[in-house]
Amino acid sequence: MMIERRALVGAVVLGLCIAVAGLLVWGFAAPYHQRLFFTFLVNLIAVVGLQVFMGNSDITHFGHVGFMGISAYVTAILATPVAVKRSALATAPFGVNTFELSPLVAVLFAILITLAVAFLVGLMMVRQAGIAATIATVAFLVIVHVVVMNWVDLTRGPRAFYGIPPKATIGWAVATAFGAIVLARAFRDSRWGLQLRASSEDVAAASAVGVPIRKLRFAAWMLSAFIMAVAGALFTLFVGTISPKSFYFDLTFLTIAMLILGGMHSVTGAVVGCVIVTAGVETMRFLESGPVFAGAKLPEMFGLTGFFLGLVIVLSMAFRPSGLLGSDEIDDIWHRRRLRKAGVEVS
Amino acid sequence: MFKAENVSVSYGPIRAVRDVSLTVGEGEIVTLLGPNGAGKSSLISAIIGLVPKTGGRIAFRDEDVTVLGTEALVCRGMTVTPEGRRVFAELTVAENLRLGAATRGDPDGIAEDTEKFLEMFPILRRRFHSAAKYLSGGEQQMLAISRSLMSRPRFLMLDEPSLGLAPRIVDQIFEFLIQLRTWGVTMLVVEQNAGEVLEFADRAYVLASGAMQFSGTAEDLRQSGGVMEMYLGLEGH
Repeated sequence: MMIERRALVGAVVLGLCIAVAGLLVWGFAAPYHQRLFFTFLVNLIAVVGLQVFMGNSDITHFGHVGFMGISAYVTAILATPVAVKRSALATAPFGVNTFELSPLVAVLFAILITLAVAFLVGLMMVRQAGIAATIATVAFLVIVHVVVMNWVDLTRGPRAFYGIPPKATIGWAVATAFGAIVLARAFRDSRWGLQLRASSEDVAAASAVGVPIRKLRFAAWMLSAFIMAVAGALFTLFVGTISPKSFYFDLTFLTIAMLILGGMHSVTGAVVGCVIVTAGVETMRFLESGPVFAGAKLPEMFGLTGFFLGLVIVLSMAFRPSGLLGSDEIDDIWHRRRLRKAGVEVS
Repeated sequence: MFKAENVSVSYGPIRAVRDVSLTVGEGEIVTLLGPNGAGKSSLISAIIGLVPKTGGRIAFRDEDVTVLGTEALVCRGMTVTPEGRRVFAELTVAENLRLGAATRGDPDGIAEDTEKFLEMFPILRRRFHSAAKYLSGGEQQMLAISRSLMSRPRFLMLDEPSLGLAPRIVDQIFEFLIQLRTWGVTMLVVEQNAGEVLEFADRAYVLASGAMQFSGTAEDLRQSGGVMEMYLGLEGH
């Protein structure tokens, strides 16, 4: 996959911003803020993963969190110590409670299994477009959730899956976020990414120049699933306890809001949206609990976070449907400015 | 070099194209005329594989290509410039041209061809880094045709290239098509307005209500007042 130098520079600059913030947090922040920042990074990776499919193919995708869930549960099942599993998963099938894998090996298996599922779902997905495809992605999310909820012997069902070794560090998360950003830009700005974006604008015109639309959609789908799988595994290995609720509509809605606000056609937009929404959600969470402000006790307002996310989506749709960044990447903005200075028409 | 035999296209119960045959010889400019709703675009779309054929065969350069998909046809040297100047509006002129070369893997040749079209249409060079949506209608048509040519087609189908353009621009586009012939590009030009295209086309077909009504040289068609009047709303000469 050939990547233009300018896109690579843009991706690296974006990744470095995250990395510098990450190192500061790692070195100086309190544990609560470290935890918060880690969750932010997982969400960032997930939003970037979502962007790879949704931003390039223009098919609204509500199932991405399902891939995170599959990967998270496979990681948990394989990496959790036998001592824990013997009691927590006493009746587990396939003898999974008789062995444990090192976290890294468990993650590899988790990614492979997630990709296998993505492959099968993807074969059906790429034949659809528009609303049919979107509904299929919602159905996929529900199926994953129902399976996890009801395969109690393997997943503990609705109860928390605990005892997963919390081996992931902020350093790992920063490196993964960096990698995800570079990968997403490399795809977006490769000839395949360009062709897929063109096909999302006009299927007939893209076909007429020989763009293999289904193949490219499938490639974006698989790459997106891969990034989601990494995000899911990373999350699991940090928090140590997961439940089906962690990978359902709340997270879907949160990541979609981030992407829509930032601008789904842009990786920079995905990152910007993630930063703004995270800041907003944390503020709302603070207000929700009824803090004392300037001497006055504010009322408790539960549900404020959900209200805020809904508002973000409604307002972006109403006033800025293509998001804050539109289709621009960070380097597009510099590049245009340079061209304009040189007297080249860019409007 | 190109042959379509008994091609049919149906949309549900509606038969938009019924058993239509046409041939285009190497180096020819053939025009496909007909009133609005005659099935011209459906026929073109079926030939290039954008809509399914319900019957018929298609051969290109002595090869049966009936079952091939659009991408494979483009690789073999066929392409279409769709109706209504379908440029990728959000993408730049540069990106539009690059997309035209989607099936090619020779960066040097692609750069060379790009330069050729920028030379030919200086406005495209001036707007090279602008989004295509900011081009005028005529400029978009120039870009759309250049984009089609970036795949180095041997056989180019143009769907109503004059649609909605000022007469001066139409002249410019048609002059370009005449020049294209000297590059060895064979063309099938779909038009609703017969007048001008018959001045440079070699042969003509007239399609109406999904069926072929006339085929012959451009000269024959101009002479046959009846066909001209009935299907094309023009007085014969």
